[in-house]
Amino acid sequence: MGLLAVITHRSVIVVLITFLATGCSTLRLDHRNAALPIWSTEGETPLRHHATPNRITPPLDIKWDFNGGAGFGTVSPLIVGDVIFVANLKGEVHAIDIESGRRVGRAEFGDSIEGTPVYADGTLVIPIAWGGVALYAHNLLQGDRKWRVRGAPVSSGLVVYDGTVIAGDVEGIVRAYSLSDGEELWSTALDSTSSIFSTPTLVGERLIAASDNGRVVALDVSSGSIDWSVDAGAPVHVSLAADEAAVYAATTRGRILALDIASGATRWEYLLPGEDVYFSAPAIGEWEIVFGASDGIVRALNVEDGSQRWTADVSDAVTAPPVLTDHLVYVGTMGGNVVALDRAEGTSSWQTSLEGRVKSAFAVKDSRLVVLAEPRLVYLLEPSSDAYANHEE
Amino acid sequence: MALPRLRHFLLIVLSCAVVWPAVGQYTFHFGRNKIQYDDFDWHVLKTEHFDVYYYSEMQELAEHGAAFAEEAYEELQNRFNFSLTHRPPLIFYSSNLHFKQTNITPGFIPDGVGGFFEFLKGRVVIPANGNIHQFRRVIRHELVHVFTYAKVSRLVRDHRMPPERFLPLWFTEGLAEYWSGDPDQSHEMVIRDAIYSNYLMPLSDIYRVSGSFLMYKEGEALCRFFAEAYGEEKLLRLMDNFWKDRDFRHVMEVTFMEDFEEIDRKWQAWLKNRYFEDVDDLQLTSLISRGVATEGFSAKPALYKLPDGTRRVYFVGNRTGYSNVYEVEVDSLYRPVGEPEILVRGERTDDFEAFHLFESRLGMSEDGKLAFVTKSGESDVIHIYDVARDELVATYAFDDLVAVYSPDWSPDGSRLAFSSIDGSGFSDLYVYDVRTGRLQRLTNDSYDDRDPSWSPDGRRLVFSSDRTSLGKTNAYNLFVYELGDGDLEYVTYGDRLDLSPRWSGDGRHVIFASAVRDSAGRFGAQNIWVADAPSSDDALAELAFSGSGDGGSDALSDAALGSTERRARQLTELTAAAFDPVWTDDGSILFTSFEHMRFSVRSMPDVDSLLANPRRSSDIDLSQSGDHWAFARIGIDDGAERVAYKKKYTLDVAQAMVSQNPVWGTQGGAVMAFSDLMGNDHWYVTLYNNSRGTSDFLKSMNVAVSRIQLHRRTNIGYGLYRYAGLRFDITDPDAAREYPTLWETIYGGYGAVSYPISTFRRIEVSTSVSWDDKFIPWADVDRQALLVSNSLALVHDNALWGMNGPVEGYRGSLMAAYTTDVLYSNVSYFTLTADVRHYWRLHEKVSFASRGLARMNEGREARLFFMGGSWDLRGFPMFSVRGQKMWFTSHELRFPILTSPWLSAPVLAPFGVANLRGALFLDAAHAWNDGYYEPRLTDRRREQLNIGETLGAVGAGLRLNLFGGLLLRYDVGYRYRDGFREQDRFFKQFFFGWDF
Repeated sequence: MGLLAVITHRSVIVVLITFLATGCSTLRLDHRNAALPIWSTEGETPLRHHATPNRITPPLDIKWDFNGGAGFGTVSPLIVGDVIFVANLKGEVHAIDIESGRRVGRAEFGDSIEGTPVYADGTLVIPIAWGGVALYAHNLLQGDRKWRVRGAPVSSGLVVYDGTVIAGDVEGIVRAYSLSDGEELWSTALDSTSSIFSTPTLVGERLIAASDNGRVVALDVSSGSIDWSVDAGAPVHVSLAADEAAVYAATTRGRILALDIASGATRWEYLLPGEDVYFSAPAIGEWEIVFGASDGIVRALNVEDGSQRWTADVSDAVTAPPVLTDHLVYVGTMGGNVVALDRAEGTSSWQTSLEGRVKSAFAVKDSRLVVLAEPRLVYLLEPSSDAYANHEE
Repeated sequence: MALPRLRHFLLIVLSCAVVWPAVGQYTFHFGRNKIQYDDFDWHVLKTEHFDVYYYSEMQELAEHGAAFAEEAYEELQNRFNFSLTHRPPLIFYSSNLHFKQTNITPGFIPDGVGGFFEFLKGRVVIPANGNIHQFRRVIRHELVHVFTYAKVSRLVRDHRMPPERFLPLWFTEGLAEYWSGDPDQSHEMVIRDAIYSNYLMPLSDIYRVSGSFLMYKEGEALCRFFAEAYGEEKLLRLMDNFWKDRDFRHVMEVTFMEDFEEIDRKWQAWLKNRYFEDVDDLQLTSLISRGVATEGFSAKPALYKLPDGTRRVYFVGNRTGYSNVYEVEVDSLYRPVGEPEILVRGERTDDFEAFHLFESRLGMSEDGKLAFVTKSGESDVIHIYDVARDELVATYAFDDLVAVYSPDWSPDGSRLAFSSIDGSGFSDLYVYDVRTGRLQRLTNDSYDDRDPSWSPDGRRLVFSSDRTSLGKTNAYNLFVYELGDGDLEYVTYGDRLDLSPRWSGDGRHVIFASAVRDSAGRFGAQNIWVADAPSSDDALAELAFSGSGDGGSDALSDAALGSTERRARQLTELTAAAFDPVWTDDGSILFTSFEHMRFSVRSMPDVDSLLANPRRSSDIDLSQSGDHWAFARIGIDDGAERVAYKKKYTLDVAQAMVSQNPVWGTQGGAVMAFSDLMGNDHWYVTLYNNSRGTSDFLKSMNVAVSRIQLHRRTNIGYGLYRYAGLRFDITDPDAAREYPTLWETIYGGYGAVSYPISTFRRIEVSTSVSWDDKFIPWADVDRQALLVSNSLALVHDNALWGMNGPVEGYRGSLMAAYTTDVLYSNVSYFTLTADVRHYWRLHEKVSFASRGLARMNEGREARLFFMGGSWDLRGFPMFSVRGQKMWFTSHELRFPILTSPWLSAPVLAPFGVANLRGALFLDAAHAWNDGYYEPRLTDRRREQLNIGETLGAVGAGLRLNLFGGLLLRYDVGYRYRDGFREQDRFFKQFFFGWDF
């Protein structure tokens, strides 16, 4: 009896320990949420245009905040159904219920994650930025590993297309893998001794990627063959954005290019004279392209010809791409502010201060804004019930 | 049981000690004094991103500094792609002498420190030195550190890495230099010398020069190479990637995507491509000149020819550690006759506290009066030393002048011209008439006027200044100042650094040192040049100069009068640099050379021949000179807010400790320290509890609160304390014989005053009042006393420190104290101590140290002194020798075994081995008691106390210095008793700590 008691006692402890050790480290998606992503990497589509037709009317209140466990990369969270997936620089992915702000799952995948995971067919594919593994495919419905591939680190976001997941690694090579088993389908080097930090974009069947040598390359998404290749004249570190006609490459040296999707020809170029200014990834609207910069100026250009529509001084550097809503541009700054600018004029409409710098792209669901900020917080901002609260207009 | 007792004792001692560390530099009893000579009236200028702290006299400079900081912020925000979320405090001083008084760092600040950024409160502290370009550059340099620290700290937290990891020093300092501006002349000088003298460290070995000037400059060149070879963005990527590996070489490989060896190879190839292009034309200084003084640091030569024809060269030097003025006799070819001898000993006395080794020239009059500058108290003074009579004949101090540089005698020996910085922080020219005592200010503006030299006719001064119209880009040209009418005239003009001019004896030429920028803006070597001097009636490029010669003046007028060319000839094509040339009357040149990372005094013969065959000759077009210039300022009118400084305390450090012991229970405590932004006012709070259970928790609480104020010349400390705990007292008359413990509780307060007489001496006075309760449970004895203790001490210290401890100089202290029980007279004793330590430098790296110590506590319940252990009487355990009276003497020969292991045994460098030294020692001590304790001591107790006999130790030891700060000590030897008649036993002893 005594022995049995001891065994039972120990069993309970083992079960408890197992539960504690594993129960908090699972990442599963309820079947109700297993729909298409609402906000993929930096936009609703792989065009990465950072725009939503939704109206998000300030003032915004913080509905909840969530401790994300570590800092974040520069790209956006992923929203699938009612779940926000946030990857952090410690190699974890947290799943957060968008309504309550509570964690519904967590798992660790490597030493660091800098790009946004992608979701397709019940699989979450995570780019791993350090630790020997390049990609990790996680079965979100079962909560277990589907496959993983070893290789050079992947510091940017991914593209999913027709059962294929495509990643650009820090050795400057774009590789395509089968989503079902991780088999490498093709690979193409963009340039010699370069790295890819910019998340590629997908326009139709053309994948466009850029390297930190400033090489912008259009590839056939099915074969990896190069359609065209252009020198942007300066390193490209931030995600490319596109519309149906052009792809927009923002550089680290005060230059942004609009390249023709079909030919790679330069449609227009915007250049700050004599300044080494880091531009953020741009947000693309029907008429305008809006981006922040390390000089604290948000610039809006006409998407057709690159002429300047307006500028707005937000004081602090802007590394996170803005997001366009139906009439406002939301900008996160290195000063820890979220600022709403009028889309037409660039005038400040509203702003609020968060606990730390906003360095990552926003995500949007309906009229709510998901913001990642230092020290390691995920915020959900939603229109205030009190129209006058925090209003600084 | 001994261990817990010892631990308890140590904890109480440590708790008490917490009261005292607040006195900063006096912590270890000895030490020089950092004196607050000035009561700075601090204000704060609040700009968009910074809080600029300054005092009233330097408002203009502070407003320039504010503009420089904002300008740098805008640029660095772009470079780092990062913004600061806090307002860094920038604390400006108008001169290095004011900067030396700062309490923001407890250490002493030597000449040459351009500023610092400290991590505790993120403060940036920067002095001006008369050169506004340098001020601007240092602000940028320190702000690069601020951004780097903020970015990397954030990165570490983002990745949840241990916070102690940081980038290697060569990279952070190199980046700060690289992003401060274009490479300056000192950068080119050091890199050129390192390459041509073949001591540049490969990238793989750069840790060997960590912390050195070479590291700064090589780090800067490396960052430039990275940017040019791999792209400027890769510098940020290095920071972004640094968390990936503790080995920064691997981080470089990951970032640059190349093998480390390949990166290193490319770096060396880049250097060769940059510097070996014109190597065929270069001259090694050591091959084209003769050494006059080549050991250690030797610079700023001046020549005196005695009536009998003997020539003597005078120079400032630092050949063994202390800085001195030296003299050396030379023959007709300027070859030294014998070794240089010390003329004036510096850094040991109040009159000659410090020389400006790199900045201030010596002036020699026709009749052999040597003028030189030293720091003396709060400001610089000019000393006049009669070299013929071999005595100091005068010292001139000037009320409103803070720093003084490069005095030069008028030909008739009646006046001294010099440059000086006043409270405003700008450098101007002055003339002092030694006969009348009249001080005349010649210039009064924000330009950096320096190194004046009298013309042979006594009517003009030639000097170097950035008042040239190219000055905004940090060019210095030469000017002549007409003493008669105050007119200014260009002597040279161009994008170059023209420094240290002197007239030729015939007044037709000016000799000077100059580094010329090439078309790409890069400085070449600093060579010796000669320019034609303007004649006194020359109207060439004369510039109107507002104000009389008797005082205030302004900048150059807008228009230059006339235009012409002036011939300048470059006499040398050196690999590195020459400074301070002197044209001797027999046609030779004396100068300071920089070669092989060493400053030497050298001579070159036959100026006429060099003039006839110059390396380069150019006609300087003076007509190109344009308008005067000014840097931007940010003041109240520009939106900044100006407020008076208000003291606000913030946490400096908080530490806690908890220990668990089966016998003594759980014990723990915490220490917290707070201070204000200027570091002038410190609060220390100590809490410690040594209870053995909940019942005696309150009873066992130890608390100490103290405050130390350092903002006045007189430092003041006071505090309150309560100490309680078991005490082990072998001599207490009521304590048990076997385990003589008692419970002692002390409440009280103390006050301490330290008045520095000079940098080297101070008087310390302290008083304390304590309620003392001793309870001995087994005997049910409860003795109480109200103790009043007063002490007076005189401390002297001018010792020079090496890495392991003092190596030269003298330290001594005398202390008298009286402790009495004012209520019951249970305690009444006086204390006398004398501690003298002398250090002789036998050789550059070998010292002999001697110490004598005498202590006496005399009277009722006089406490015991302790001795034993590695720090004093070796061979005997720590605190094992105890007596009311004792003497002790120690003699030690200290010598090197392994110096600079990063060079000779690089395998040791990763382990932090900074040096390994040896010691041969002899210690002797005698302790004894009488009166109150002695009669009740048994022989066994006497044996335990090691009293009543002369003890000693003879042996040898090793001192291993790790990371430049942790000194491990290992001694072996024989210990002796009974006056060295009895060899007791062999001992081995290991501990840590500095040499005495």
